[in-house]
Amino acid sequence: MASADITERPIDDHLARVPEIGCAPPGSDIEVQLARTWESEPGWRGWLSTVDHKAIGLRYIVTAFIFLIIGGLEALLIRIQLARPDQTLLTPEQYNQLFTMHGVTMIFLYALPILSGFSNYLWPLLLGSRDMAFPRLNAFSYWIFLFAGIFMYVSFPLGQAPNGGWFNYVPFSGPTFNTGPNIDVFALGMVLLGISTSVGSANFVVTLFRMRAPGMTINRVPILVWGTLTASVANLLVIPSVSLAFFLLWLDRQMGTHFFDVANGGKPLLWQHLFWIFGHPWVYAIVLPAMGIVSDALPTFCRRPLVGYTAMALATMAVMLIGFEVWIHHMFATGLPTVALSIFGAASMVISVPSSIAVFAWIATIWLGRPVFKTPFLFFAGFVMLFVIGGLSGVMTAAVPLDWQLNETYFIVAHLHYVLLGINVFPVVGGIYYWFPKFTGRMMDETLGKLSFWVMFIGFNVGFFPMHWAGLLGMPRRVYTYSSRMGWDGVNMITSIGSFVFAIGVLIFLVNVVVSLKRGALAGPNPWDAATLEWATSSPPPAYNFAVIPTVASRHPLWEDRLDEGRGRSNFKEGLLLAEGREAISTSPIDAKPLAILKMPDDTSTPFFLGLFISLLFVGLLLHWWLFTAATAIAGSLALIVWLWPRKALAQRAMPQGDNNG
Amino acid sequence: MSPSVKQNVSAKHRSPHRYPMGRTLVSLFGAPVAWVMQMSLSEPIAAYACYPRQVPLSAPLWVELPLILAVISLVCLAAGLLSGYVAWTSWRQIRNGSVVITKAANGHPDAGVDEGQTRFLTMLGMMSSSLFIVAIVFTCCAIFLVPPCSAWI
Repeated sequence: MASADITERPIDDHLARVPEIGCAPPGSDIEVQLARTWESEPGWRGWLSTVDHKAIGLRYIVTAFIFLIIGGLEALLIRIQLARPDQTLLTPEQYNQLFTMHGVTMIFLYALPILSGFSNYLWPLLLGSRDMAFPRLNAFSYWIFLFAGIFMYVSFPLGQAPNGGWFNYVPFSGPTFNTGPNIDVFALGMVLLGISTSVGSANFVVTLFRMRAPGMTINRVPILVWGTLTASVANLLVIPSVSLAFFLLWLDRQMGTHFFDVANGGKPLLWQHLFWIFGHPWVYAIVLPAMGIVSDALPTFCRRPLVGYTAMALATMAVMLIGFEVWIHHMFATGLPTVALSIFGAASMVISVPSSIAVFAWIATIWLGRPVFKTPFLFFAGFVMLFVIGGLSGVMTAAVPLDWQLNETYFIVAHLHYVLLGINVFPVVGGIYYWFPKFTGRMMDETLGKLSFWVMFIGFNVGFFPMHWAGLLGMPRRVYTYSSRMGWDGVNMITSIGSFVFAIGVLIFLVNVVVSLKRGALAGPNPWDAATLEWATSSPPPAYNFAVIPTVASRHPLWEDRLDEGRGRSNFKEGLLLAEGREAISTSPIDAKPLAILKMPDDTSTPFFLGLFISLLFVGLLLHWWLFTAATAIAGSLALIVWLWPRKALAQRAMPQGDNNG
Repeated sequence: MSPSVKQNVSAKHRSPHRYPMGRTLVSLFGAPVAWVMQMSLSEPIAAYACYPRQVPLSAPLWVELPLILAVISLVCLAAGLLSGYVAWTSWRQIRNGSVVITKAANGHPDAGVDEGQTRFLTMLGMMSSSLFIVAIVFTCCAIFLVPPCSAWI
């Protein structure tokens, strides 16, 4: 493929420089200089201004996990309320707010951000780079995510949290039926969160096509990268749809427009289309990177490469592409014409083909390998089973007549929990067990790890499998209580018990994290004897990731000797030396041929302040403080000007003759 | 990230192997685009024909609706098959060695010419075409088997 040449342009001799090739062993002058250049300033200033992808990735993971715990506590309250019939622990309004915040938290504030955390931390290490393509944008993405999460929770203690469910259908969420600030908080919070997701996604796309190590051709990219890339492209296309939907709803509620107001010619179905055009691809965005975690980590414990790499890469991309054209299966009960529904039913069933390819690839990898039953393996194997159950119930609901029977029942709740917990939480927890040594330099405890898996796995299935039965018995979702004469008592009690068992499993995992942080066995660079590039550097990695830019010669750089892949060997000891300030190498999109030295920005607190001012602007909009809104807009613009001001150190301004070292 | 400081190691190298970018793009994206077109045209036309205003119709607005949907599907199927053919011939050329792929020299960061990426993209194109031809056929089934404006009985 000759696409590398597309980017070739005449060289500006003024900027030309030949990078040295050499070694930089630990303790050498160059290595010390690299450490000094890339490490963040200690103390709160450094904490606030760091643009290190590893720090940002860990912040994403920790913040998202805190949201997972909050959402989990909300779920436990819901399950106490539903454990027995005619309970009065919660009022209907409290219940509405709880299940809405549970959904919003899990789907928007946990599921994608935690995967962004993994990808932010791992991508440059997996790709052999020094950082993401846009480090400041990366920090900005995190701060906006954090502020959006706080924004959406700020009305919760006041009893004014969003209360229309996570998909927030109109007309219930319109100004006529929902007069409080609840929905406005949700609407503006989602627009704010959309900024974070969009800039983060753009960063991932550019990073993949620009920041790979020389030799990491497009056929050597880890599956996690394919998963996150696919999710990121999808986010760039669909976030505008949901941001527009929520903005129009806010205009309806606060500015007197009538986009969704039936009485004045508005269309409630417009909301459903705009929301689900976003919503269904989002569902895949929050599982595909998690599937990538399994595809990359499972082979380590099977002691062999993933079966069907190309098919898995295709399955990842195909699932997302098909996912763009299935949104109407969320609208089967809206009265759309039959052939229109059938077309989308057929498309929804097609997704089972690439999904099955992925499942068979994982099973074949286990089958043909020599499984090592460590904790991460248990989580990944458990994930495969839950994926199959969640996938099967998904194919069932792709059939229009059956969907009509199951729509708005607990069967759907069971399906989405198998999909979201099974395909997101299990790989994520398995991934934390797997990469914890890389994150912290310490191993997690195996005994506690296996215990946490079995408690979580049993609790999950005891809790969520009976929900299928509750749905088949006709129990509708989102009811705050039910009569004992409905025959749902037993199944709800079992579900509640299972939920608490699952929560105990999560608690054991958290205990393990805390204990292992203090007392875990020290991990070397590659404690699992894994194949991918992140294990070629120390645990935890130094601030600069790789002292010399690695040269990659195969898909499994650390297993080359035993697999005898290709003719060449990857090289981590000798390579491009880039140490004149913060520098990284840019490579061509397909062939990964070196193209340019990138001058990377230093730490700066501008992303924090820009994120803060934008978030305060949304506070102003929420409270109708127009002068405050204008002031924050001006402050945000100034922060942006500071951010974008051309700098000589970044080669954004012409350098005087003779000073061409950048 | 800043505008880059050009280094002069790589830009002078030109890859000796040139596999047509157009063919690769057709085999990768031809069938998916055909399927997306089939979906994106069929759904709104069918929906409007059966539910043009506030009230659903028992028969489509245009009697030719089944014919219109059939033509759209067949054209898209033909486009998908064409993409599949391009993918298949590309794959055969690579497999039979009609296209020369040069291996990289060992270890040198700038030496990579083709380390299997062409083979990978061609295989990806063949799989992509196959899958989306199946998707087009699935959608055809829905269009040909379900009466446009019928009730589900």
